[in-house]
Amino acid sequence: MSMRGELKFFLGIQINQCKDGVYVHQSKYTNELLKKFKLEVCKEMNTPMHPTYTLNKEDTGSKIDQKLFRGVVGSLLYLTASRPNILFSVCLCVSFQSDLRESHLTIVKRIFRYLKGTTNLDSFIGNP
Amino acid sequence: MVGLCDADYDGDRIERKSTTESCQFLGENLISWASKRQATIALSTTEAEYISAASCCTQLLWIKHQLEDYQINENSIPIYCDNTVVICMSNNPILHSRVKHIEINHHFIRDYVQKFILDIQFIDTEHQWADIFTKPLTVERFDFIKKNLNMHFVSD
Repeated sequence: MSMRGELKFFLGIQINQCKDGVYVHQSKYTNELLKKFKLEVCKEMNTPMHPTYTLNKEDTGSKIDQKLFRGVVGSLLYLTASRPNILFSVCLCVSFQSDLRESHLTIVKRIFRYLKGTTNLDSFIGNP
Repeated sequence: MVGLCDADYDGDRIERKSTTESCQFLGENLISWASKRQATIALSTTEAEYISAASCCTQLLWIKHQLEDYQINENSIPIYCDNTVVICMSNNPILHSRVKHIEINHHFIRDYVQKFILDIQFIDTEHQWADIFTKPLTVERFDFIKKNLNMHFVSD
């Protein structure tokens, strides 16, 4: 494997170097996530979270697979490396790790629905 | 270099802890961001904001040290905060009765303000980009901040 040449892809992060600056995005990773969690076909959303929604500890609602939830949230955490805009909603999900209910999974699904609509969103670092 | 800090008082409904959020810009570019639940329970919005300003300050100092390796020396780095009491508290090291209990390690920000390394300034909530790390927003506000954080759609 040759390690020479322009940096284009590194640890799932795609880097586009142009004249006016550097674009950093994870669209490949995002698409893989949607595929992995079988959410390729879903309705797109404009924001990762509803403005009035708060997440609470819950006793009602059916229990969900803890392992799956942690896997999903862990994958989303890596995505915040190039997407500061989903940081808040992901961090909110991270604070719930045990005794998970259906409502917690709904929040995560909403983030994915937002991602679905914005797979090619990137952070831009301009030249000084 | 610019730092923005904000806090969400009582952000965690279960433990009643507040949330710190801060972001740092180098020129126009967003280089570092954080959204984190605070370790202590704040008794006032000011305390929550003050703690978040202190954590923004630590991050700025680290970036400042990194830049010094490249012979870039910056002084009077502005931290934008939307709470005027925080600005008064950091500029004037008087012990107020309402802030007596705040841990000493959060007061280190005063020291840097007096040495003219940092400069705390006021910013209105409209231009407080750190808002996006505090709470879920409406579509318009969300897209507006997203644009100002230098996030775009690539065409490929």
